[in-house]
Amino acid sequence: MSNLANPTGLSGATTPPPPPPQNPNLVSLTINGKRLTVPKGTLLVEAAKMAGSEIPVFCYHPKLKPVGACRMCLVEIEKNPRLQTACTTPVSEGMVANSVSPNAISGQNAVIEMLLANHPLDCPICDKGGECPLQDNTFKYGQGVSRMQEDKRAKDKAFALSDRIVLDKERCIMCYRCTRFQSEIVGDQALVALDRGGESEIGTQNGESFESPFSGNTIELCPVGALTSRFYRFRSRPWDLKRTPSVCSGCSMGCNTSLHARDGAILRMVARENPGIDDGWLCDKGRFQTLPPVTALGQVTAAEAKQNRPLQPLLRKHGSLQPTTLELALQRTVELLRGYTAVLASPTLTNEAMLALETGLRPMAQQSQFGFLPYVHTPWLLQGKIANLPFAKKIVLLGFDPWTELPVLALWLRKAAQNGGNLVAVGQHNGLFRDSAAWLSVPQDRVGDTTAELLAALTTGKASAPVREAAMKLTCDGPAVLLLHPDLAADASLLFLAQQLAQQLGANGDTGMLGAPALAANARGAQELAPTIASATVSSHGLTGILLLGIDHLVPQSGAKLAVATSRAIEPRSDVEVVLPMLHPYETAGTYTNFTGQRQALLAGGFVGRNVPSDQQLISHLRTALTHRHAGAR
Amino acid sequence: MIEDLKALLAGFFTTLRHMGRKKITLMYPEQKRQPAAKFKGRHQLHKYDNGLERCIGCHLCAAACPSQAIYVGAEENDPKAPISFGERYAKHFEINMIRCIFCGFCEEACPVEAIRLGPEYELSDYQRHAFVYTKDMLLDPEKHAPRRQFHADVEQHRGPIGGKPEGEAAVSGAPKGHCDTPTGARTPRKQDL
Ligand code: SF4
Ligand code: SF4
Ligand code: SF4
Ligand code: SF4
Ligand code: FES
Repeated sequence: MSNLANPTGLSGATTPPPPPPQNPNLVSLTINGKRLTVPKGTLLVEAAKMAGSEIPVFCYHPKLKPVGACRMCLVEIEKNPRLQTACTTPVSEGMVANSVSPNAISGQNAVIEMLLANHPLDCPICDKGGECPLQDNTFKYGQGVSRMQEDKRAKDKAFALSDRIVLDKERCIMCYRCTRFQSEIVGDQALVALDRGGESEIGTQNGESFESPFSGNTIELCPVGALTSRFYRFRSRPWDLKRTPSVCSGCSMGCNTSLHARDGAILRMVARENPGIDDGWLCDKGRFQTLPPVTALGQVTAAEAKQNRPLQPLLRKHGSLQPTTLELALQRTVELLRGYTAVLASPTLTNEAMLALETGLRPMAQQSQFGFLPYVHTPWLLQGKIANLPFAKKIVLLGFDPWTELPVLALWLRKAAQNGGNLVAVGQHNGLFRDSAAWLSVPQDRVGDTTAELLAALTTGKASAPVREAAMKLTCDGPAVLLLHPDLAADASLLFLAQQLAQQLGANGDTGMLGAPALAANARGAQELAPTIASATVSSHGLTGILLLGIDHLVPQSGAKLAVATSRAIEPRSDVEVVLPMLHPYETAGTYTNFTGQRQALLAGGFVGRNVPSDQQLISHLRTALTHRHAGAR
Repeated sequence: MIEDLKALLAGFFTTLRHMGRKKITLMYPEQKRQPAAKFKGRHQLHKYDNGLERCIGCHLCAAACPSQAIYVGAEENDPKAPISFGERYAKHFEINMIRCIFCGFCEEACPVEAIRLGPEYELSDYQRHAFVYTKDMLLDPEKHAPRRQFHADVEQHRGPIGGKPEGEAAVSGAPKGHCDTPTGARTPRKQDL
């Protein structure tokens, strides 16, 4: 035999193949008989998902720190005498875990039985019934029968935690998802666990109302029907709801939502996670306050009927508003727009309507002033992506409090602060107070002076002690974020200072974020697609007629006659001449641009009748009516 | 020929034999049959003895209905003037009798025995809308059902269920004496809202 095949001359004896190179960041393990390799530090419950087997959970949530409170996730781990909770156990090399062994199953049965020992069987009247993890897990991992003969614990049934949230203390399984959300994600400890053992329950520190800008998220997090929404309570069952993906119209954050409607009436809005925009959370302003009034048949109570929105055109005749046809209402609106008049539009109109307004309607009504209410123009368009925020190391907020203006943005900035970012707030309000490295608390009109001082501290070191101290925090390396309140940006000198400061910090759109964010929903879309209207200021003095497009409330009485196109109930004021019904953004298909310039689609989530036009349709109707007027005049 | 005669006589004999037997047909509509206890006719909504409605507005009958004949719209009870026992009641309850196939699934789905299919079977009328039964009509057909569709002689056959909400094991399979009623029948502490 030649040695050609083995030039080294070593014998081809059967040595075992060397073990595959060990990547210190990977761990291989076996779950339910399936071998897999996962990154080190992965929790067993997550590894099981990758292995394609489900481990039931209640308290575990991927966005919250594990606590091991409910014991639902018990698994058997080889060489471990007792069942372990998969949600608190990180994987380790060579681990053999089993969630379907007789031992693990008996553990799951026992936990379900224990949780149900005091759980009321309220499912038929419970808002969660039909989408309830406790129901699902009982079905899949429970025994199916109960051995309990004793009476169940009696606690408060409909305890009003706040004017938005109702707690059923009997249904609570003490998983602490709600309290962990409030302390870990929001950081306000608005909900806490009180008392111990069988008496323990969820509540607020001193029994005060549960006030937090994000309280609605706990309803979604609660794995049972313990936390329920006051507005959605008993309105429907989950299987009756039609779900439509949409975008929140509460502010320019553009959080992704899912609209849930029954018989065309939108009854609730829940989060639809977009990791680049909302991280799965919604604020209460968006969740509870932006929904159109309920109009569908069978859902109207007397109180609702009173505040009901108009669904057909109304025209003032003999001193009162009376139903009329769309043609007559449009005709009257067009007459109203003669002379010294104004068209005020809401920035919550869709992009399509913005374009129709700028290129379609405005050229037809040259004599009228056009503008947005509220004013949306910002001279310093925002640059940067939301995904940059968690990695920001230097954050400066000038007169801008995201906590109230763009609430979900505050959660991102809080994340950055927790990742070691230094947050310096300048201004009167600072909802992120607990996470700020420094708060230079000055009235809004002094923000400019403080900004100048901060800039001086960074460049020359000459400044008062607190400002110098704040500036110290901003000397580190890393991505920078600088946000200026758009109202303050109108002041050219402050704008210049802010831009200087951003440059000094090294803020750029690729790694951080800088600019004066648009605040109202689709305000950025308004500025991009209707630039002339966005930058125009309307002088309200001496107007004879005003057309309000999509604006929720009337402008102050000024002697001008009003034509109102709205999706909400309006005050029956004597200067309202015409009311045109319009679809709410949630009933319209269109697009919104969020404050970073990202365009997202809305789909029609509700239905109020074929005769109600969308914002875009209404604008084109108005344009046609104006064309006829011109034609008639010729 | 003999064979034919035989067959003819056999026929007459059968008739003769039956003439002596008891009649099983009725002179309908002058005479009416009392339906069996399990007969599935027009639905009834029942009340407890204390006057509270049994129905808790849970939508389960509507979910079970194969012909989507039922519409339920629930509301929260006013604790001071409750309509049903517990927190929730049916504000709207409608059954479209034209769609209904009288299968009885709704009755089986109901956790509190609020809905039952009653004895009434003479459901005919001249207009479609006369067949859309609202809550009033189902609770008290004598007062509210269309005149043509109410027959006291049939209806009296099966009266109201009545009963007390307390201690009723409404969820089937619950051990006896176990207070697992979805109406919250353990008189929970309830905060005034
Ligand atoms: S929380 Fe879930 S299990 Fe409990 S009553 Fe509600 S639906 Fe039923
Ligand atoms: S209220 Fe809900 S989320 Fe909070 S501890 Fe109880 S079960 Fe968990
Ligand atoms: S009897 Fe059957 S078809 Fe008729 S309403 Fe009940 S479930 Fe529906
Ligand atoms: S199932 Fe029974 S309690 Fe539920 S809505 Fe129907 S009739 Fe009412
Ligand atoms: S999910 Fe693991 S203990 Fe709750």
